[in-house]
Formats: sequence, structure tokens, C-alpha cells
Amino acid sequence: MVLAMVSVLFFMVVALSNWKNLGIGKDLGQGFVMGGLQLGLISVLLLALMEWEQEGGLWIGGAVLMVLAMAVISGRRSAKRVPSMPQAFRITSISIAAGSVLALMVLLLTGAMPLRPEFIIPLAGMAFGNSMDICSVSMERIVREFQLNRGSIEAKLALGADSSQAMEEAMVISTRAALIPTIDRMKTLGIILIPGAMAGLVMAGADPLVAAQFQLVIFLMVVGGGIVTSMSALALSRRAFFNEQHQIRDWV
Amino acid sequence: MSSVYSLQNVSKCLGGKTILRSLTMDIPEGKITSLVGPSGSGKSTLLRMLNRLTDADEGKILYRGRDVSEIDPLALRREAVLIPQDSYMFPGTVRENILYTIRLFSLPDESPERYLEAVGMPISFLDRDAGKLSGGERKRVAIARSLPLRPRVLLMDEPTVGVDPRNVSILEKLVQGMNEDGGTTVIWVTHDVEQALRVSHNIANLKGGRLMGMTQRDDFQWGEAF
Repeated sequence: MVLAMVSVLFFMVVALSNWKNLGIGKDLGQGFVMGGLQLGLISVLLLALMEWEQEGGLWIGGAVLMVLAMAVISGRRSAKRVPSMPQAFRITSISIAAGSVLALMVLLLTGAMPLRPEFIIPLAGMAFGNSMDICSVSMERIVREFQLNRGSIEAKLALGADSSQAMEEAMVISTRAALIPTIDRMKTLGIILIPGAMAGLVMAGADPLVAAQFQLVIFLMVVGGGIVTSMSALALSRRAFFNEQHQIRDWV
Repeated sequence: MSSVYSLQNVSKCLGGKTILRSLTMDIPEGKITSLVGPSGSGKSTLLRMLNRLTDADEGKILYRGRDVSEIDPLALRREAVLIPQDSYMFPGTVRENILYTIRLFSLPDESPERYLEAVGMPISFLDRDAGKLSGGERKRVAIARSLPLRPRVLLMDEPTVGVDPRNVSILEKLVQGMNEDGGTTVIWVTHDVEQALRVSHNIANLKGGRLMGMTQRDDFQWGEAF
């Protein structure tokens, strides 16, 4: 019933797009259908894991498989942002998995996240989703830095700097660019923005103070995981930009 | 006379196009050698190969008798420093640009003043924004930035393109001075034959990726020019 009512909003947006010739009606339709199907699928899987847990089954194996699938899918999506870069999928999937899993492990070990599927799967979704966004911006930006500032990078190599030293400045710029939106969102928390997790908890009847604490933990997880993701992606991309002789590769 | 570089049948292709064709030549140590030729004759590519910013597809390049492919490229680049045609300034002041090299290798001497003076620029330039310097000033800062490495070889790619006549003269005298006083070998890429005759001891004439001839300055025939 709720979905049917919300669909009215969707059709309004499509109508607006067609009226103004924005050319995004088809993408919106695909996004809506795909998103709906994916949310349906994750709900069914989550339900299965929760039942499995209640029956005392090895639900963790299923959760690990889901996390692996998240790493592959988010890695593929992020790699598509830099189609010219060789081995981009390997770089993005490893980096997103490293940042997200590390952030989730911190939550688990500190007790902020109970070892239960209804906590692990949604939080993993948030960690992977945000790390994917941060990874995409990092990769896109570092490729652009190489294209715009190739001369400056090569001038450093010409002075005898190694590839890590030559791309250090580009890495700092790319990491900052990728993290600034998340940090800005954190600065406006509660003033302009009441994010999904807190809003959901409050609507489900939780104490707003508890919900706020939980939201803050999630943001720290996103920032922490994001920094690890961005730095890993940029460090791993060094070999894609340079060969072993510290020469810039031809594709750049 | 010993050679700083010996090239043996060196060829290089870029993007499916042959840039250098079976190039064989010796570049003498302690001298200024100009590589002259029209645009696209392979001069800049050759210079980039001499400090291994790129490698030859075929043939052999010897640096002081050793195959460059067997030399650590980073060590080679510190000895044979390339000053690119577009002298990119790193963000920050002139001081920070010179300190970049000093800090990169943790060199003991942290006095950028002496390097700026060595290229004939006043100390007052140290705190200027490097991005706002003129073309000639940029070239001189790029040279000053390489001096802490005490390069044995300077590879200069069209160092006076876009530089006003007064600064052209300053740059030419500066590099000649480094060669005469410090014994620095200089390989100077230019399309200006008159400049090659002014600054260098030897002139190599490149055309279409081939070496058309290499002579001492006094033996140069204008008919040999491209």
C-alpha cells in the first residue's frame, strides 16, 4: 500500500522529466525497477539469515557470502568510473572490501555492532555503499590529476623522485576530494541532515538520543572505512600508473 | 675523448608511429652537445630516453659505458637531470620548489639561497609564488631545483622556447658557465641552429628520427641544417 502511494511520486518525477525533455526518464525507470528488485532480494536474504540464526544454523557463512557479493558488485560499479585504467576492478574491489570490513570489525570488536544478521547486513550495506562512492571519486580524481598534471608528475620523476613520491600530491588531492562530501555531511548532522539510520530508528520508536549515538557511530564507520578505502585504492593504483622503472604507462 | 652516452641502433615507436630509427651516435663527456632538428624529429623523445623517463624499443644506450637498462633509473635521473620544455613549477614559492629536491633526498644543505644565486636570480625571488614567474624565470628555477643533486649531465629540452631575448642570453651564459666551471655535460635540444652554434661544442642534426650528421661546431656546414 505504502509502495503504491510512493509510486505516485515516481510517476510525477518521470512526467516532469518527459515534460522538460531531461532525457532521464528511462534511467529513472530502470533505477526504480532495479532498486525495488534489489531491495526485495536483500529483504528475502536477510529474512532467511534471521531464521537461520534462530534455528541455530551457520548463518555467518551466508553473511560472509553476502559481504563477498557486496565487494564484487561495488568493485565493478566503482571500476566503471575509470574504464581506461587497467586492473581497475581488482583495485576497487580489494580497496572497498578492505575499508568496509575493517570498519565493520572495529564496530564488532568494540561491541557497537552485535553479531546478528539484522545488524551486520544493513551496516555492511552502508559501509560498502559509502566506501564505493568514496572509491569512485578517488579513482576518477586521481586519473584526472594524472591527465591534468602529468607534466608536474614527470618533472618530479625527472629529478629522481620515485613513483610514490611523484604521485604523493595527486593522492592527497584525490583523498581530500573523495572525503570532503562525507565530512561536510557530518558537520551538518542534525542541523540540515537527519540521516536514514537515525530517522528510521526514531520512526520505529527508539529514544532519539540512542538513535543519535548510533548514527554518529555509523558516520565514524563511514569516514574510517572511507579513508582506508581511498588510501588503499590510490596506493594500489600506483602500479597501474607506473611500471617498475618508475615510468608513466602509455594508457595514462 | 670519452662518451657520456653511446647510442647503438636505437629505435622508438610511440602510438604506432616510429619516432627514432636505428640511431647510432656518441655524445662526448664534459661538452655541450646540441640536438637540432625540426618538430617531430625525435629530439625530445631521445632526451627522455637518456634519463629513462621512457625506454628504447630496440638498440642499446650506454651511459658512461654501462647499459642504461642495467642502471637504477632513479639513480640515473639524479645524475642526468632532465629540464623539461615546460618547466612545471610545483605549488608554492620558489623556496619550496628548491627545497623539494633537498627534502626529497634528505640532503644536508638546506640553503636554497645559494642555488638561486647560482642561477643569477636575486634572493628576493625566494618567497615569490613560483606559479607567477615568467618563462625565463621558471627555466632558471627549474635549473636551481636540480642543483642540489649536483648533476653530472643536464638534459635541456628547448630551454629558451617562450623566453624573452634578455633571458635567453642569461640562460645560455648560465648553462655555458656550468659546463666550463663545473664540468657539467650538457645535452641541449633546440630547433634554433644559430643558438646551437652559439652555445655548443658539437651539433647533432636529427630529421625524421634519423641522425643526419654530427659535427664539431667549427665544422658545421649550413647545408647540413634541416
